[in-house]
Amino acid sequence: MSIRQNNRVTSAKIVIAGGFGVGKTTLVGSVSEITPLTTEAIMTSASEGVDDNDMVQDKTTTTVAMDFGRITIDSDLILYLFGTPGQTRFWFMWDELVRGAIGAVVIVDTRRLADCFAAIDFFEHRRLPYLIALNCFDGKQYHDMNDVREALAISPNTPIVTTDARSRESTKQVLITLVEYVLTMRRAGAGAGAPAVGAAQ
Amino acid sequence: METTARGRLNGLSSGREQATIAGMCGTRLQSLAEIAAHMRMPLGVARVLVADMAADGLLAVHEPTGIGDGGGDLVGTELLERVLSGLRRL
Ligand SMILES: Nc1nc2c(ncn2[C@@H]2O[C@H](COP(=O)(O)OP(=O)(O)OP(=O)(O)O)[C@@H](O)[C@H]2O)c(=O)[nH]1
Ligand SMILES: [Mg+2]
Repeated sequence: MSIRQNNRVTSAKIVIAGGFGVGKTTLVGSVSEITPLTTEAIMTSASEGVDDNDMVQDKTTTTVAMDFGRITIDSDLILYLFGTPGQTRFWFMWDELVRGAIGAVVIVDTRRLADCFAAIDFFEHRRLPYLIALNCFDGKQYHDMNDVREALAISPNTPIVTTDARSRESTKQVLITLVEYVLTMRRAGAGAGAPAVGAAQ
Repeated sequence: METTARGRLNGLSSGREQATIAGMCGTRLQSLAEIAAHMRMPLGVARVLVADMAADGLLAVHEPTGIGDGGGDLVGTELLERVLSGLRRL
């Protein structure tokens, strides 16, 4: 049995958001080395594990629905992907997960643009850098990129990319673009603190 | 988070859930979400258990190193660069 003395394992996280059925679970699954753990399913059987425990009994109604994936970058660096719940009413739980995140991917189904407004507002508010990933179902792009930018009222700097959430390579590119963007923001950076992504003060 | 030496010794005498968590975190670093998922319990419940265990010195909790939380500027940039090159290697 190995006793770990190494305290230097670092984790980083990226948040995957978007409206209902836009491909969040699919995207997390396409790059994660574990099957996305969806706590939505776990909720239904939560009582089995805690039935004899008074301390937690009244807490089983806590509902957090999310996707969870993992990419081992290095022996001492793990990247976690967290897919946000579709229903925004659960997002109060997300303040904690967003804290310390590298950034977020907002997946947008171009046929239902408005579904992502809540996610964009959320990240703008918390000043978490994000990019827009247009998930082109059926390979069709229903909007011009500039129209999308205008419709979403996002900053000219915010990257918009197209993706096929089912493709590992495509998802990888989305994540790379996000991290590059965050790095660029930081290098251009206004000192310490979060990059002000379209932050209206 | 990971199990401390004390946590490994105490694992058997604590509650069932705590013992499971100590076992999980003993072999390698685990995230709260992984613990919650494996134990089939809500994240909020896992958080309470873990916080209690950390308070008892049974677990060592490592905060994720991230940016945008007043964390060190240099660490953040270095971390980003490492994540980026790691992703490119995938
Ligand atoms: N054609 C196509 N289908 C996709 C793509 N991404 C996801 N899908 C399909 O769209 C459906 C919904 O995808 P999910 O990944 O479950 O979406 P989600 O955002 O997790 O959905 P909720 O968690 O219910 O909000 C699934 O049937 C996927 O197979 C894509 O890029 N192209
Ligand atoms: Mg899903």
